Amino acid sequence: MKKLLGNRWLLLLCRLVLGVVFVYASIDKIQHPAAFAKQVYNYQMLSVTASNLFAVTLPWMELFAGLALIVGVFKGESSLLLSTLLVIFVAAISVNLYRGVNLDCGCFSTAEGGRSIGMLTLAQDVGLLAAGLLVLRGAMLGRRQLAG
Amino acid sequence: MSDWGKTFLGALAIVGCAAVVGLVYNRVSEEGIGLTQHPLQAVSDLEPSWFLDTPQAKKKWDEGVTFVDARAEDFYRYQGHIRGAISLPVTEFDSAFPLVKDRLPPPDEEIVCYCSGFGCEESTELARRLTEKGYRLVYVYEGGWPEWSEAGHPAEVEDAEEGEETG
Repeated sequence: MKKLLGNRWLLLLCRLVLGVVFVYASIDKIQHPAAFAKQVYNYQMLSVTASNLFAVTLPWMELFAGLALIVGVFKGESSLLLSTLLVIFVAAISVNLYRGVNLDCGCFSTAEGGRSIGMLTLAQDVGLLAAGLLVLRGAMLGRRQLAG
Repeated sequence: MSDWGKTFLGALAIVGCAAVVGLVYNRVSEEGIGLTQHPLQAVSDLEPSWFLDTPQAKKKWDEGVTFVDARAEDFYRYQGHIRGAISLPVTEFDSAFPLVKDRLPPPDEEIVCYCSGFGCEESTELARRLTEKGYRLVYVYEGGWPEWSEAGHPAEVEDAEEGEETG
């Protein structure tokens, strides 16, 4: 199992998938901050100002970290950041699924009537989180080997 | 410093860079938003508009302000509605508005729109349509029917057979 988790091709695949997904996810949000702020606000977890701040800054975090993973620099830092974001996404979706609220996911598109949150979006984020943690583990082990 | 410490600081640095770039871009972009502006207001382009929480909506109701239910009529009739609210389904606005116009207050008096709570679009859309019709004091009650009924405030629900009042 350890050997499989450390397989360089698997790590490369996870890194590229994570990078491409987050770069893609950031573009529409950067272009339409007002619509994205509304989606964030509808999750009912942040105040008005915090929703706006989150909507204005989050897509750039996704873009920078995603690009870094694609290029192959700051792999540990980027995967740590994206994994943290994914934990927040999973928590926000879970809370609203528990509340029974039907919301636009705001995952990839800010268009109204887009994809709603559900078990599928939750599974998607958990899968991406697993990929993020794998990349993080690989990056940290790589550093230790270099130092050793 | 440990590898984990360095990685954590690096991640924070990315967050910092993203925050600076995001805020600067928001400032210079035509699509930029006001950080204190209500997110629903930014999208619906209501002006003037106010967004109410449940205590504020109840206060308006106590003052006798007209409430308008933006959901489809089936929801209004059988799921229930705020007592005294007028049904004006936003999806049928053009045909329904002339029928309820006489029951609405004059354009310089207050109206509160609501729908199925957070995440529903109908109330902000209805507020926008009413604003276009000349109503200038249109509020949106964000919590809508779910929060109103949960709070136990006066409500009405129509049975499939006969009308029934609760609350």
